[in-house]
Amino acid sequence: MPRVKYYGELRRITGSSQEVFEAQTVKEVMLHIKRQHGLEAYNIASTSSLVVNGQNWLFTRQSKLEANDDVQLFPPVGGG
Amino acid sequence: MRLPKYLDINLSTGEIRPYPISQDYFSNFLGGKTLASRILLDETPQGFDPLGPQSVMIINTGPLSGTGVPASGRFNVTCKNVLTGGIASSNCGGNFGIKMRRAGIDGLVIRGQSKEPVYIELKGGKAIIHPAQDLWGLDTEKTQEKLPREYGKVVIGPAGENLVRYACMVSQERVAGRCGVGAVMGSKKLKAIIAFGVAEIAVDNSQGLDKVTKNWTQEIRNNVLTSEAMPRYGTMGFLNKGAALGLLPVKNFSQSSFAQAEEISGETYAENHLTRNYGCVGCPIRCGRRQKLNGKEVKGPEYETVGLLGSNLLNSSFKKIGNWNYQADLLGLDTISLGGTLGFAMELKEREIADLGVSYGNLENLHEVLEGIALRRGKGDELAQGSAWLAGKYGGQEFAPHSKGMEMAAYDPRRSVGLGLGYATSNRGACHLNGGYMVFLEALGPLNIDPQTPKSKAALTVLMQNLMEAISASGMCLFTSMSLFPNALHKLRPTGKVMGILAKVMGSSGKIVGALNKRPEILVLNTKMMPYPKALEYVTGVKMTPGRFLAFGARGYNLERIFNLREGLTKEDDALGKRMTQERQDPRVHDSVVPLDKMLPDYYHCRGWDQEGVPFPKTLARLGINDAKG
Repeated sequence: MPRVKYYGELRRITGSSQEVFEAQTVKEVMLHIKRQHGLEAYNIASTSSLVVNGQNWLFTRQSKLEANDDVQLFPPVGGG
Repeated sequence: MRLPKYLDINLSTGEIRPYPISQDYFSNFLGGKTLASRILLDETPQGFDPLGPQSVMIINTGPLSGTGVPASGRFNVTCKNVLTGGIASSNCGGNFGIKMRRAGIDGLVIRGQSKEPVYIELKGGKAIIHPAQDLWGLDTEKTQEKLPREYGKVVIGPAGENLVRYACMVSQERVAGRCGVGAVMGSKKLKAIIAFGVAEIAVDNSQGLDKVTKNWTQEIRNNVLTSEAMPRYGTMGFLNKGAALGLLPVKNFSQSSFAQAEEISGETYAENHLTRNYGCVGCPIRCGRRQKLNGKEVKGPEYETVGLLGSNLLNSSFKKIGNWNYQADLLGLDTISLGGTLGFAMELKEREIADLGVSYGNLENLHEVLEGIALRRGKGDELAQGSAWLAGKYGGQEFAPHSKGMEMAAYDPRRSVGLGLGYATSNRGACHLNGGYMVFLEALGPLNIDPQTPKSKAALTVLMQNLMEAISASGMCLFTSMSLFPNALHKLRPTGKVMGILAKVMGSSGKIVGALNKRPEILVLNTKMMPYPKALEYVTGVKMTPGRFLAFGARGYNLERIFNLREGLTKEDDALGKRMTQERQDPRVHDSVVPLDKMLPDYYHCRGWDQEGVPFPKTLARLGINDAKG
C-alpha cells in the first residue's frame, strides 16, 4: 500500500501528516481523501504538486501507483 | 518630475554635499541597485580595494520605496564585493528605507574612511556625522537600542567592525546580508546610519497611485502564496518540498537527501516554535517568523538559514538553528555564507585536509565558533574569510560551495539547472535572487518546467534576472512577484492535461522569450497582473510600460557586468565547482548535474554578449549605456 504524506494546508485540514491506504492510482488517492477528509481537503489535494518517490509527476505523466510508493502532496508553498 | 536627492558624504574629510542625480540618470537608471551600480562605476577607479579609502558605498532607495505601495519598504546597498572583487548589491526590508525617504533623502554616496568610529544621522534633508566610540564593539541589538528610538537604523555588529568578509548590515531585525557589505561599512569605521523625518514622499499622480495600491494590495491578499503559504509557513514553507525534490543542501551539497528534513520544515516550525508572524512596514505578506529563545521573543530563521545551518551541517535541531540565527544577527554575520563556509570547513576536516575546529556531528561548539569568526579569534580568523579563500589556502576548490567567491544559497542547483546557470552568471556571486530565482519555475511555483533540461533555460534565466533586477531597483520586495502568478494557475491539476500543455509550452519558449529579452519594448500594455510599471509612472511622472520596466533590469544587469569586467572578473568566473557540474547529485539520476557548458553560450547570446561574456557595443548602445566606463 502506498504511503501518502500531506504538507502545508493539507496537513492542517486533514489533521494528519501521513496515511497508508489501499490505492492503485492517483485518482483513488484523491477519492480516499474526499471520503475521509471532505471536499476542501480533496480540492487542495487534487491541485497539489504530486511527488512520488522523489519525482515530480508533472513530468512523468503517470497515474498508476505501486505498492510501497512514497506519495507526497504539496499545496502551494513559498520560498526565499 | 522630482529628481531624487542624494548626499555625498566623505568620511575622511567630514565633508557633506549634495550629489546631484541628473534627469538623464533618473530616467535611465531609476534608483536602487541599477542607479547605484552606475554611480559606483562613475565614482571609483579600476582595481580599488573594497575595504580601502577609495571604496565607495551607495545606500539608496527606489522610486516606490515608502510610497505605500505594498511591500515597498526596501533599501539597497551597493559597493565592491569583499568576497568576489566584483559588484556587491544587497537589499533589505525593515523601516530604514522609508525613514530615509521621510528624512528627505533618497540615497547616500559614502566615501573615504573615518579615523574614529562614527555614525551618520539623517534628518530634514541633511546629514550629520557623530562620534560612535560608545557604540563600537556592541552587537546589532544593543547598538540599535542605544540610538534614538524614533529613528530608522542600519547598523553593523562586531563582524563588520572586524572586517569579516561576509559581515552583514542589520536594520531592526532585517538584514542586508550578502557580499560583505557590513565589512565595507566597518572599514569606514561607520557603525550606524539613522534616519528620521516627516517629509512627504513626492508622488506625481497620487490618485492613480492610490488606485494601483488598493488593487495590488488586494491581489496580494487574495493570492494563495502571499496570503496563505507565506504568512503561515514563511520562506521555510518550501523546505519539505525542496527536500522531496533533492533541492535541499545536505552535508556541504554532497548528498541528495536528508532523512530528518521534516524536523526542520516550515510545518514543524509553525506547529512547535512559531509565536507569531510579522511583516516589514506596509507589507501585507508578513512572511517573517517570531519565536521564543530563552524566554525572549526574537526573530526566527528564514529558509536559507534553515537549509545552510540545518541539513547542510547535518543538523536537525530547530533549537540550534534558532540560537545560531539570532547570534549571527547580533554579531552581524550573513547566515548564508556562514552556513556555506562551515559546511565546507567540516568537509575539509572529514577529508583530513584541514582542521578549522568544526566537524560534522560536533555542533555543540558552534556558539563559540561564531563568536570566534566575528572577533577574528583563533581559527575563526580563517573561517571569517569564506569558503573560496579556504579552498585557495587548503584545497578542495572542486567541492567549495561558491561561484565567483560567494557561497551558494540553500538550493542544490543540480536539481534545478536553470538556477545553476543563475548562480554562475549572477553578478554578485552565487545568489538565487540575483541569479533569477529559476527554482520558482523549476520546482517551487505553480508552473513547472523540467528542472533537469538545459532547453530554454538561458532565455528564461535572462528574463527572470531582468525582472528581479527591475523590481529591486523600484524599491520593492521580490516576494511581490509571487502574486504575478494568479490563483487560477494554482487551481490546475498538476497531472492534468492543461498543466502538461503549459509545462511543454514554457519548456519550449526559449526562442520567443529570447526575442522578448532583446526587444522588451514590444510589451506596451499595462495590466493589473503586472502593476510595477504603472505604479512607477504614477510616482515619477515618467511614462512606463512593462517593456520599459524590463529594460531597466537589463540595463542594471549589464552595468553590474561592466563593473565585474572592469575589476578583472572574466568568463572563467561564470562557474560552479566541479561537484555541481560533474558529480551526479543522485547516482541514479543520470542528469543530476548542472550542464553549465551547454547553457552558458546560449546565455551570452541571449544577453547580447560575445563568447567571452563581454557585452557587444551594440548591446550597450541599445540599452543606452555605451558611455559606462568599463
